[in-house]
Amino acid sequence: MSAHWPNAPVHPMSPDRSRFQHVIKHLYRPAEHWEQVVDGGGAVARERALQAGCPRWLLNQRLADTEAASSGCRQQVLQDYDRLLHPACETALEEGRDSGRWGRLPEGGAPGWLVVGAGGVVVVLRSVDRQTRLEMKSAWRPIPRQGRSRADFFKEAVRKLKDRTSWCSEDT
Amino acid sequence: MTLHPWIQAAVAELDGLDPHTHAPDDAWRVLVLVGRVLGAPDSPGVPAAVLGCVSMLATRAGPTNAPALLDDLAEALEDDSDPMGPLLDAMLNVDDALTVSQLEGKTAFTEELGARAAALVSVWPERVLALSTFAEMRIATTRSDHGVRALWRAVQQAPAELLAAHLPAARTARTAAPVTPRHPVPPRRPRGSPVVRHFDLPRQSVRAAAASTVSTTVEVGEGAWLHSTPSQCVLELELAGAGTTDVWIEVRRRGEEAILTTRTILVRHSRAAVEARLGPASIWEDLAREVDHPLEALEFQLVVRTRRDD
Repeated sequence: MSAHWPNAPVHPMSPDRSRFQHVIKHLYRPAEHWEQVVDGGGAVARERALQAGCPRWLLNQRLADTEAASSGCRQQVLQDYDRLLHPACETALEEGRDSGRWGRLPEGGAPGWLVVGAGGVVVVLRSVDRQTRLEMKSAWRPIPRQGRSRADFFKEAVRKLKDRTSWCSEDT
Repeated sequence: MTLHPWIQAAVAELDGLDPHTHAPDDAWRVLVLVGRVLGAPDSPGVPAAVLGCVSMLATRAGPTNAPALLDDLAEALEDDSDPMGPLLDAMLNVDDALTVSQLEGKTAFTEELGARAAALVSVWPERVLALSTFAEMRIATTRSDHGVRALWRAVQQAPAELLAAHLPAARTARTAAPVTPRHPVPPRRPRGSPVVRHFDLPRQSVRAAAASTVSTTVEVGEGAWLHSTPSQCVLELELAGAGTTDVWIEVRRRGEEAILTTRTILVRHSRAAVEARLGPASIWEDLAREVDHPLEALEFQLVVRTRRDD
């Protein structure tokens, strides 16, 4: 049976490189204000990564280079995936499923879905490995044009969901 | 005539929003939705009461920060996560800005932003291949003269760009146009306290590159080399430390101070170097044509601005 949202269990992002880059690019990104949705997220988590030996330039990279990180840095970032980013995504998936805030993505190869949590966390899921596994592929908080409250983030995320999926039928 | 579901959704959402809102983000959304509905073929129109609020809503929403939108788009294109993720967000944000500027009748701004965004997209065709259905939808939901089409046409052209990249002989001709913005592009905004380096490009190497049928490498400054092949000119810079680098070309008449035009260059960072792809070797002739001067009468200077991280 195909692994489709919302009936199949969702697996974390893989491989480690993808987790590492998502934490640095999104969870640590000050403009995404993850502290609004997960305790210890955002600037606090970034500061901890600096203390763990992650160089500032690495945390500023667009595509953080896993190989350039010390083992201490890598461990801290991957821990932040397990402790902060992944649980925040799981919460977002539950909230999105229960509220019907999700839609089928129109394209991108493997069947995909976009789910929006109550805190404005957006998660992309794909059915991978010949549609036997449902996996998180991306998670971020779309940044509103001006507002910075949790409610502003939520509104922005819902608008991005509508723009992507309002024209797609469920059996796309 | 049945409205496209995307436009139907815009009409429905618009119906639920207050056109007198004071919230900047809501004001922007109303403008975007009005623009989408009015920009659609066989548009059903919007209520006069909403239309009458457009100017007030534009004031409340605030101006568009085009350089920031393009920076975000470039970042998302350079990324390698799912194209339906932050990349489509960045594309949608540009689409929104184009839709609103078209609604406001800002034709020059719309054309320039559309051309610059399309130029960026054409540099990473592999990243936008997966957005072709979305591009098709946006083309189908806009009138033939609509400003957003430049952006989505660039997505539709991605397969051809990608194919051209594998055909060396054809690459020059295929990539020259899309990578070239239609207007002089100002340097991207500075961040932090930048270090700026200038490299004069020797005229003989520019001429040689323009006419070259073989590969050449010229050291244009300390830690900076210009590699030229007929299909690609690449500036390679040693990195003295990590940071963000912006590169652009300034074009002047020989011996004169005034800049005739600039061309922003997209850069890729690796661990020890920055690679700035200037485009095909014909870039120098293209720039000369753009400013309507013979190549020999011009001087080219590469400007590299680096904000180093502490």
